[in-house]
Amino acid sequence: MSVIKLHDVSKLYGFGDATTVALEDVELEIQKGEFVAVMGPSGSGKSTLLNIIGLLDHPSAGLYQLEGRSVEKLRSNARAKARRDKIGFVFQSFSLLPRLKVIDNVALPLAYKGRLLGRRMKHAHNMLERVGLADRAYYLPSQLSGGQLQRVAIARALINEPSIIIADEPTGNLDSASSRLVMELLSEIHKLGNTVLMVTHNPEITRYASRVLYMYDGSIEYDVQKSVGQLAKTPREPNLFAGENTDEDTLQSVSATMKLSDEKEGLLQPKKKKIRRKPRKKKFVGTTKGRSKSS
Amino acid sequence: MMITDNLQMALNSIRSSRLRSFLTLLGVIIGVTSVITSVSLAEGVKRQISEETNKLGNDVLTIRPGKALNKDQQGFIVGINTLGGASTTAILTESDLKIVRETPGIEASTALNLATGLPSYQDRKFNDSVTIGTTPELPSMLRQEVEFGRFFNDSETEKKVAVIGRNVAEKLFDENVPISKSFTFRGHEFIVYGVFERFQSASLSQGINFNNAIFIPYEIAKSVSGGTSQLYEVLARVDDVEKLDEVSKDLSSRLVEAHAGQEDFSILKPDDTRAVTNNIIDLITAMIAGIAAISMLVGGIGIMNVMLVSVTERTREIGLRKAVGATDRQILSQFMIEAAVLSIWGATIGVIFSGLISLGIRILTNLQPVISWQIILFACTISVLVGIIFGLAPAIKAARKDPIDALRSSLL
Repeated sequence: MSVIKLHDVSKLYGFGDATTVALEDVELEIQKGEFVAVMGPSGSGKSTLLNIIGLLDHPSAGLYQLEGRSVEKLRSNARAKARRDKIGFVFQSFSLLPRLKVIDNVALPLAYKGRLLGRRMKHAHNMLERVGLADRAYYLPSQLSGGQLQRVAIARALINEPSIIIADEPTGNLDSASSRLVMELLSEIHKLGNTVLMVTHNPEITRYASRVLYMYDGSIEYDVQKSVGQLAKTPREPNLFAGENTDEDTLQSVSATMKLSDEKEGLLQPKKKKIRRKPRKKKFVGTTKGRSKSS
Repeated sequence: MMITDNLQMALNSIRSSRLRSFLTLLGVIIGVTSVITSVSLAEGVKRQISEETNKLGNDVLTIRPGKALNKDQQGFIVGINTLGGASTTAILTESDLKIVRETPGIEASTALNLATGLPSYQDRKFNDSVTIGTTPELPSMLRQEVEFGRFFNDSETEKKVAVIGRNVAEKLFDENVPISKSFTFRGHEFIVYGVFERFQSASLSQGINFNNAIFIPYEIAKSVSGGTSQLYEVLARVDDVEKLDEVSKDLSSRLVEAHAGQEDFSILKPDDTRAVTNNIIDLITAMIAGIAAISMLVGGIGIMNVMLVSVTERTREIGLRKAVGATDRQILSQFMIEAAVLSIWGATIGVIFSGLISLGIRILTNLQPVISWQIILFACTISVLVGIIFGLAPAIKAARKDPIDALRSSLL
């Protein structure tokens, strides 16, 4: 059974002449147990797609079925409940509530579900154990590292046993070591049978995915099934300008621009320095002291 | 989401911005404090006065010249002549006293007769003193104890003796117990027989502060002021409290007859003397409480302001909560509870403040404010209502936030 099914989904922003198309007639079906990585340049509609699938945003047109049920007609409350029970979010910038302890953050979806405190805490503790952070349960988010925060966010996303976990650049703010930890956690979750949908800019990370989508200008241009552990056949962003420009052309033009700007800077720098220094010495001898003090 | 969770969140968020929360509370604190303080002050004054009138007894009628009260047809008091007997042209005479005594149902009576003039002791004078001629029944009628010495009795009504109020003892004689000392009044020498216990306080209706009074026998007062006698008031006790109204009506009609059909006197029942002052006090209380209520309103607007800022500040938090499954109603109740907690805190602090202020008033003045649980309940209810009403708009704003816009916000 497909967990997610999009048919002809479009999303438009703005009105009249200022209309921008964020998504254009997207067709997508995600099966249970898939690990889908979405790639594409900025503004290609990756996040919009995720937000629509995550029930945070409404499509302008098209059909969306979550677990075989159409969601267009759900009202705000029902959407909130669907988000709570069927979708787990992991955001790029960790998105934990700074005033809540780690364990309370993890238990938050359960609180909204109306579970009793004791049960909530027990469950959240188990989740934290699963992501290897049980010893940090009573820390505040500000006392954890970025990688740890992201693992807490994953624990929170998992707590209601959702149908799909949506991760928007989960490693975007992390160093490579933390990234690997987080990705291995996600991969482990995937292996346990969970469905994961992830946006990433880092092609290396698509190794963990079982399927890679490339988006460009609001459409899915490539949809590649692959085995986990392999890089996708087109490891770079697919060269969608193929035919117009070769790599070499691009490189040459880039280096040409850089040369030009180097020369310009080289010419300008001594002049700038002279202009800046003279008035400084004359005018601000007295005030610089005060400034440095105040700062 | 349990209410306790929301409470926890609300306390967290209030604690995390203490100064801002306190400034918000200030309006509510001032409102609650001033409402409770003003009402308790008025309640205290009322109680003090009613204690005094109760002392006079609920079986004692006070008859005064002139109209002290204006009543409408239903018998409600619509106006009060605060100047009392002093300025009216109407008079009560001894024949009126006789009528009072002859009225059936009246067990005992006494008259108070003002004698003009200033007493002097050695070379000292007491300008605020009032000299009153009266009969030996007075102490029992007023239910006031003579603290030192005794009141003059029936065999001493022709003697030049006096019983004085506390202030006279202190101001004129400069000592606590000037018994057997003598003073001069209109050229006559009087001997002090006793000193009254301090009268609670001069009530508005009584006019004369008995603490400043020198009581001398009725006949003596008449003779030293030249044989005339103008009665300040007549006190009459009925033998049966149940018949108070009946006797009062009977007496009234008898006096009207004697005054050639004019009702140029007033018969005050114990309730009336209380009603007069209570009317005034209630009016003043209502006015002050009204003003205080405005500060409550200002406090409410303060809460709304802070909650609106808080909603904007926490846009991303709201988005995140919605993303993990909070419904609109859950967000709404979170912010409502926060507003309610703010106002309950304000009310609590206000109650504590007003308690301290009342204590201060008790210590520093002779007023005795009474804080009743009703007024505390009232002030707290109002302030919580204010919190909820003014918290509603920001909470609705928070609940209606689109999760996607909220998540995009950079604030957390």
